[in-house]
Amino acid sequence: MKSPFKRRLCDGCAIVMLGLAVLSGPATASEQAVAPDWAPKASEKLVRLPAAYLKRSIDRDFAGSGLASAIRAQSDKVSNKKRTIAELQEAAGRAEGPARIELRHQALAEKQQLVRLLGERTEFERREWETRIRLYQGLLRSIEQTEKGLGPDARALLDKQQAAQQRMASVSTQVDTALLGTGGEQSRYSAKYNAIQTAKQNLIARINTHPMNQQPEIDGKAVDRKTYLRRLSEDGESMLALLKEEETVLAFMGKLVALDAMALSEEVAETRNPDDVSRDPERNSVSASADVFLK
Amino acid sequence: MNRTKTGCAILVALAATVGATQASAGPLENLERERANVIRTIVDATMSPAERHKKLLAAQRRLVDLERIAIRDPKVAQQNTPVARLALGNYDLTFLVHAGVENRLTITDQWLDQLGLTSAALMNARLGRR
Repeated sequence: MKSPFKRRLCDGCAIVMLGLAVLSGPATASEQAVAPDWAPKASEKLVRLPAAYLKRSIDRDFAGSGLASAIRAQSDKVSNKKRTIAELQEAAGRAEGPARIELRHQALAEKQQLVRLLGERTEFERREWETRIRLYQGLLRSIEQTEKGLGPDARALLDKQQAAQQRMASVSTQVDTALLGTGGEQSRYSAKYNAIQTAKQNLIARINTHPMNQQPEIDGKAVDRKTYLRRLSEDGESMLALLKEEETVLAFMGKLVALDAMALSEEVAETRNPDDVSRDPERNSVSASADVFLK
Repeated sequence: MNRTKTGCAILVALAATVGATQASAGPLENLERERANVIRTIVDATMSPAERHKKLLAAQRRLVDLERIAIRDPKVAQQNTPVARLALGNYDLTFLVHAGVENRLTITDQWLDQLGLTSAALMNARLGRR
């Protein structure tokens, strides 16, 4: 059975160690046994998705990943830890003497764990946003490469073809009338082509009005896919900047826990009986211990 | 020995078939073939005017479809071949029927016009020796 002095000494040491542990900063996610992961690819399938559906698809993919599960689990742990700390602080407020110190000690230990949990969650969130930014930028590059697919010569030729198409379309009816006369029978190709065009136009109209194919909007204005992806990437950068700020807050939290630990240690030291200090060295001296060997 | 030869012959025949399938003509090549037939009809001196007119009328209908198929095919510009560059660079000479209707000329006049062989130019021409 330990004497009250030794126990207090141990408490003091534990508190200082706790403070040092907190100051050393939260454990990084790399220290976890199994690092949760999310590795989406800027696939062709994703590039072809309607822009409005793109973010939802990415969000859904993330929600099913190990990283999202880890963030959810960490959030649950943080909530539980906060509840435990509040209960311990409430109990410490009611308790007196050694029980009060013990409860404050426990609360500090829980706070240290809370800081660690928050640090891990921030690390997971940082990884999520870095992955998202990489994905958005990868998609943006894929779209730009698809658009750049044609060289300047081919682009010029395509422009010529489009101009020729318009020119031909403007005289199409005149050509039919001139060759077939009014009410003349169309060629098999023309008849089929017109039927296909009608079907295509109906389908395009339906696609354009489909709710899943609506243009994404930023500040109430419809924007194209590239602008939308650029905005998503910028939002991701903003989130990363906020997470950096949160890391600063976490560092302050850790420092505060360390200061609390040092204050508690001082408090424990002050409550020690001075007689214990004078008596202890005498009792544990070499000469006093000689009796043990003489028996 | 004979069996080996037969096997080789079958393989060669198969390869030729595959090759023939891959070398199928594009829309511009089909248009060019039909256009060449029309021009041959125009310049054929052995043909009577009535016969030429009848033949040209039938050819024009086919040519209209082929011109439309060629101009609507997105691969024509994407492939960026010399044939495509020439064809799209000279609309009035490539798409004779459509350009002719647009310019209110018959297909023959459209072709001659594009070559610079107008009636006035021909009337002003003098026979001489260089």
